[in-house]
Amino acid sequence: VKSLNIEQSDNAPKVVLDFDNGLIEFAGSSFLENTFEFYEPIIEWLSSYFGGNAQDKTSVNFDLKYYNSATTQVLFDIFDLIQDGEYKELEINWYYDGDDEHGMEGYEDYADEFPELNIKAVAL
Amino acid sequence: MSSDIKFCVLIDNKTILEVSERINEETIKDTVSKIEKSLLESGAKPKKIKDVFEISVEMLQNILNYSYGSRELENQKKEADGVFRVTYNSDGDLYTMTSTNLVSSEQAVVIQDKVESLKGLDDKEIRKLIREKMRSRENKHSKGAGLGLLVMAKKSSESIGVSFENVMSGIKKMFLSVTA
Repeated sequence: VKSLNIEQSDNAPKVVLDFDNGLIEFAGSSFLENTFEFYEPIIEWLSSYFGGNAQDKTSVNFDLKYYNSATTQVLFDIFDLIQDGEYKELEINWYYDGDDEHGMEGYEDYADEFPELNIKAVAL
Repeated sequence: MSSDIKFCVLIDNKTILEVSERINEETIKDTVSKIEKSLLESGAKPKKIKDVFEISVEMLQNILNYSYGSRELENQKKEADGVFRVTYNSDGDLYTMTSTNLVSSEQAVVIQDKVESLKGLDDKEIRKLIREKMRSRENKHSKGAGLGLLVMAKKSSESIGVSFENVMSGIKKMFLSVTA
């Protein structure tokens, strides 16, 4: 599995898919017009990684500021894919604005839906 | 209908910013960036900024994806005519986002039914619907997940408002409003 990095733009997140270090990161905003098309190669990479190629330890970090409803679906699909996939040691962090008293709203939907993944909320 | 995005935050009826452009991916990025800047400068709370920003994105992308007569650009992107406006009511600290665009009569019926079905639901019920929809992937298409109205309803402090005006046979003008 080859690593894949995507640069951040105004409406697309920075994406790090670092195979050697078992590091997966999404940071920035995600409200592209063609959201699903953007995430297609990422979903493909994740399917391969969690399809029997995961490192001994995998860290997945989400640090998304603004995102559209299509991204809400993509995030669900990513968690679903990980839950059904193969991995050894797994850590998933959901970063949120600690100054925002409602900052965990997005996190709660996924944490409730995928309790087995033990998604951790981390205040920034 | 002429193309027209208006971002005008009205504070005590004073317009502090107004943008008028054609709606496509670039103007959406530009418009929501101006909204964020304006709200940050006004000292709005993080949740308010996030809700207004994300509702604005949804409404603008809805114009792009569902407007009658939208144009196909390169790379499977679209451009559409519509009106988008943000107003602020200092009494209650509420922002109201309104959009106006043309839709087919069939689309109008679907939207009206969806908006009606959300009326009176509390936050817990809306969250449950969102999770069900994400699980079922029902209504997912190349541009969206069919979750837009639900996500807006979750962020809205009042019921979503929608009304239609006949333009000609098979085409209606839609007025959508969301308050956060």
